[in-house]
Amino acid sequence: MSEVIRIPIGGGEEEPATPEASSPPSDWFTLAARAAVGLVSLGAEASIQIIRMASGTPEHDQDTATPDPAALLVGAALGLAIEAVRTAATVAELGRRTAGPPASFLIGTVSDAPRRAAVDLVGRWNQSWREERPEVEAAANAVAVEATRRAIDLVLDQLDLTQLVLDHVDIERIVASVDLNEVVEQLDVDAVADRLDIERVIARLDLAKLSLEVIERIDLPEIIRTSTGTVASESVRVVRMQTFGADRAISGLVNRMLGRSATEEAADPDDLDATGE
Amino acid sequence: MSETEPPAILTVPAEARSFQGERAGIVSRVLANAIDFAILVVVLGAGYLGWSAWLFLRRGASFRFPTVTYQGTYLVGAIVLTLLFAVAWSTTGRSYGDRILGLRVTNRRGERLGFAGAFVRAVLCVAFPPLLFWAIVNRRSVQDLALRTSVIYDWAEQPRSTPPSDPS
Repeated sequence: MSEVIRIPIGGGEEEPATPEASSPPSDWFTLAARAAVGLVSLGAEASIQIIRMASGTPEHDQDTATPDPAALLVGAALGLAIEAVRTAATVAELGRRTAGPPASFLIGTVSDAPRRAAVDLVGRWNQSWREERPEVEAAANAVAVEATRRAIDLVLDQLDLTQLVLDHVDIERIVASVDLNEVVEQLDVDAVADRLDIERVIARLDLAKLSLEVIERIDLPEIIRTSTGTVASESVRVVRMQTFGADRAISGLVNRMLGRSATEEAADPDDLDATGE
Repeated sequence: MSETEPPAILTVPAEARSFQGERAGIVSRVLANAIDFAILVVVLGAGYLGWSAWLFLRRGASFRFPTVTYQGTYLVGAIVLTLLFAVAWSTTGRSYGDRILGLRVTNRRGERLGFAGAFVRAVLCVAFPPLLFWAIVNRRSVQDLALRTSVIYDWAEQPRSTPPSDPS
């Protein structure tokens, strides 16, 4: 955009007088006119399609023998426009070729001063454009961004993105590509645990069933059986404890009679040693 | 001497855990032997009744209860008691009296006796019962000193130091 577009002025010094160079302007004109008409045509067709879809009208084939009246009118208008542009281009080219040399001579001789003034004016406008360009572009950018944002909002409002993702995205593949171990390593499990309501979790447990499973797993009946299998009933336990007390009393008596301590009694060269020799 | 590793699940009452593995005193051992002796009497009586029943079936009307001599009874009783002790000490490590009193016979390493050792100890114990009373002095009878065995408190069903399991 640093180069300023120079608009050729008919009959000016920058207008090439060669026949080869005189035809491109008319070609450009025709091309531009066709492009404009084509764009209008595309826009019109798209509009017709959208209106049809919105109104629920069944879509007709454009090439069928009985086209839609609206499409027919639009097509006719566009064709007329193209013909008009083509005719205008031909007339303009003819006029330029016939009136061009005398006019340029007249302009070159009579209106030299106004032409210079016009060139100066255009130069000033160009300078002004260069100075204003950043602000104008910024404003245009802001407007474009805002317009785009609103347009996207409008589009997104019409879409169920969640459903779209569910329909078209392979979530399992995405999940499979995630390294959960790394995620867990970065997780502060203690903080999560602090936020847990353990009481509620416990309340949801079937403790009775869990207890039964634990009892079955550790074989509590077997433990009870072996425990009671030692004849460790209350009376036997009392007898055992009493005899142990009697043993200790007699040992104490004997130790006092022999004048030795309990540790000396225990100090036996053939002492019990589970590790063996 | 009681510092041995605890079993996986303690079935011993808390108040008795502190002295498990210690050598048993004279009172426990005498009581255990008294129970064993009572059992011996029951076994001998049952044997006498069984022998009488056998004679009754053989002789019929001419049946009379067999007369037993003191020497014969002593001899049979000694043999039966020796066998009872030997089998008990070499299999579970405890006779029935030991079981009631929570005692166990072990060798010097705290393990169960083999049958030979158990049999020799049984012979000595049956032949010279009074030597048990040496346990008053240092909690070991003369038989224990001779064979380097011990009688310990062990209320648990399984031995404190688990010897190789014996299917018998």
